[in-house]
Amino acid sequence: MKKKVVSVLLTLAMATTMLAGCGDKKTADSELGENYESSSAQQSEESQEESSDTAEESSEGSSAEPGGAAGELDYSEHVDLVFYLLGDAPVGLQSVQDAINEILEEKVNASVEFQFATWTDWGEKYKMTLTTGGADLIYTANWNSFGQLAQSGAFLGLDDLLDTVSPDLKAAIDPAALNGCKVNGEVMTVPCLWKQYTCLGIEYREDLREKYDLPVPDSQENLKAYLQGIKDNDPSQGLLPNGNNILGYETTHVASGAYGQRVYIENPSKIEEYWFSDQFVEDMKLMKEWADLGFWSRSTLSDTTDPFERYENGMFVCMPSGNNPNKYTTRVEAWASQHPEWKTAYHTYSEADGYVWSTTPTADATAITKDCKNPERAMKVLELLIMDKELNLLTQYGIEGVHYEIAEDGTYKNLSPDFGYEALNAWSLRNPAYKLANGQGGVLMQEMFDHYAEVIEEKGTPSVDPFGSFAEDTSSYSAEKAAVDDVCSEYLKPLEAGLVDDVEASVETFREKVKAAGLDTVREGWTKQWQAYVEENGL
Amino acid sequence: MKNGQKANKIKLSGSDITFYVIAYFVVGAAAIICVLPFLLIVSGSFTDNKLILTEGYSLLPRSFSMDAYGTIFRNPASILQAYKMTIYYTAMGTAVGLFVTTLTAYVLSRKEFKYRNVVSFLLYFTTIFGGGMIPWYLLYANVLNLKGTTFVIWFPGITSTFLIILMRTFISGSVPDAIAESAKIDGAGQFTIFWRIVLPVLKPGLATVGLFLALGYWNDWYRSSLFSTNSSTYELQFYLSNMLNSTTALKDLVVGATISIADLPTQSVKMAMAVVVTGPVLLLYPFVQKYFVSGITIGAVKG
Repeated sequence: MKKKVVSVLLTLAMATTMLAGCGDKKTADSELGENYESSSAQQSEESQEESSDTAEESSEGSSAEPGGAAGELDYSEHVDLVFYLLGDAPVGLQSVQDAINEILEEKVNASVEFQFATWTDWGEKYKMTLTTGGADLIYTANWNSFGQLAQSGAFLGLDDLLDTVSPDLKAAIDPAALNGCKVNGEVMTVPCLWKQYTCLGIEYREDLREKYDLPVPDSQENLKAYLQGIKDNDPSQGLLPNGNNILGYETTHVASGAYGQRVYIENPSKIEEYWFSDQFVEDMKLMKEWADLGFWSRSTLSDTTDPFERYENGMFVCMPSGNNPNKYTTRVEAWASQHPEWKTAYHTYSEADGYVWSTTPTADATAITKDCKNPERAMKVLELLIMDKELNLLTQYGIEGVHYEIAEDGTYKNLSPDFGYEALNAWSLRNPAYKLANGQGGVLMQEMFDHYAEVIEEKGTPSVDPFGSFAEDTSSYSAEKAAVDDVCSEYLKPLEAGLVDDVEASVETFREKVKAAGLDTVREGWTKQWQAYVEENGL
Repeated sequence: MKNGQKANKIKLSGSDITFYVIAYFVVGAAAIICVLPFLLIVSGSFTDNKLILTEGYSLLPRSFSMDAYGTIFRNPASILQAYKMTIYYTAMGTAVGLFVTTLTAYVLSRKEFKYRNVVSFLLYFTTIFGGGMIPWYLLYANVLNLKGTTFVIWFPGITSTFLIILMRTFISGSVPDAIAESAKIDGAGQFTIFWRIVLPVLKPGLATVGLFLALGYWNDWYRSSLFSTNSSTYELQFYLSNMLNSTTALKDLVVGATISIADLPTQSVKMAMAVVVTGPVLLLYPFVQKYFVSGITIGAVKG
């Protein structure tokens, strides 16, 4: 019996080595193997340097091609492309895809298949698609590890392609935005032409303010007066979800507040102390004062429901944090039909300073993957999808007359649940020249955006967020960071919610604990990266 | 249960009574723990969404509302499609799976198959060492090019080493070699022996393995998540979980991105969706449960 087992194991071992040898040889030749090797390097954090070398190589190799074939594109051979997007496929995908391909077929002899990550495990599946070479064009976003993936060579460098294949597209992009899409000096992704603004602001109930004749909450004192006024008139009305960002009026100049430090926009290379400063104690005292006034519930820390959903149902009177014009205008339109007696209004914190720049360009962009076999054609198709009016409208709204129609006031009107507004989630293809506003909310949002653009022009402030593409790599201090985060949720959260009895003593405890958790290591790691970013971007 | 009734007729001793009281209490408590969350879901699905937000969930709906179901069934095509596909995957996968599993197990149980130990070992080997998810995905998506087909959703689940070993143990326990041998003497071929002599004896085993397979298919969402490229091939469970995931994802994203969020499902719609999806299984369960309970121990008893 023993002999048998041994012989079986031996046979097995031999078989495995044979197969393994076989596999190596085969996959080394095929592209599949290459993809897999370089992208598995991409996944392991340690070999980052190594893989960035490969990235350079591969981008050099591929960018040489279009340079050589400069000028005329050869459309003689039909090309099938896969465009990978986030989110869910709309029901009416097939008909829209067919309509798009009919045009693409005729113009550049290519067809596109749209594939979707769905919102289930999307981060994992997105990386897997890159790893296995399952896409040619791909949606990228800074919140989906664009920086990291680009560093490890997942995307093609686009400098030459933009010049040779799509000079029109390149001309249409704001140079500042294109500059923001550079990784290691090369453009890696094509930013969305439509500028979006996610300027933080406070949303409040304008109807209640008018009813009780209260001040507009455009400063901390006025917010306090506004809240107190409502409380005096209607004690049963909920006021705030929590104390988050009620200091927002004073932090408009803060570019980053990571780990209890403050970096100001005016001088981003100078890092100032916050948690260990007197200002912090003052701020926490203010939190306690407001909490004691009963501006938010004492069980706020254990509340898990979505505060916005509750604001929408009239349970709060203002939302000072996590808000943006898009959310606000969606609500304006919803209330117009559901609660016509309510009115909501928005005050942008940093408007007075002019720091209302549009979101970082990498937040919404399209890249060509390194595995793309026809980068020129992919670039051309991308250009057409963005710049060609008919194609662009198809990608955003579906087929006119079937899925949507343009209302009399020029806004978008849905006709079919099979293909909603921007249902392909091809957000990076949005083109302001053709964009249709989504109902009255959309019109209002565009008005706000246009206003922000004017403010920027007036004040001469940067047009795109200069700090948004900073991507922190926490791998070298992840243990300390976890400990610091733990301390923050245990000791800082109650402070910020004003739920402690003795503010000064609690601040002392928090400072001790967070120091012991390894705050210095974390800060050191973060500072190094931040300084490098500031220097690289010349800020 | 039966024993309990018999014992009832005889006089119960004090310790027996204590035991029954404690046992019923524990089992009852466990049952309540299982039922309550589901009751909350059902009640939530019949409650007005605003009331859930303002006053939280309650065991009985405070104000009865069918709005959530109205929302779902206004456009029921996608749910019905997911239902249809899941039934198809379950039927197809279970039928093919039973056939493959039983045949494999039968061959492995036959003593005249010389390399049965080697093959068993190779099968067993895969439970200890596997290629992992990426090679598995690569094989189906890039090598076999099956991404987006319905085949790839039911095929990878047709059998598992566990089920084959379970079945093999069952076959060697319930089909003596002598039976097969006598059939052979009477002139039956290999397949006739399997089909007409062995298979009829295996009914309890088939029921168990079939149930394992069917439940596996009904509850699966992962293969849809990986391989479906079109919502018309979604499995039901994936349809449900993806709906919840997309609500969460969009709410997170919209802080930093300009995305339309007008039509996200409300709390009560989510609850109604859960009821619609679990309902039929809940009705089916009592009818197949007896096989399931008796079946699990099948492979374990040998002798």
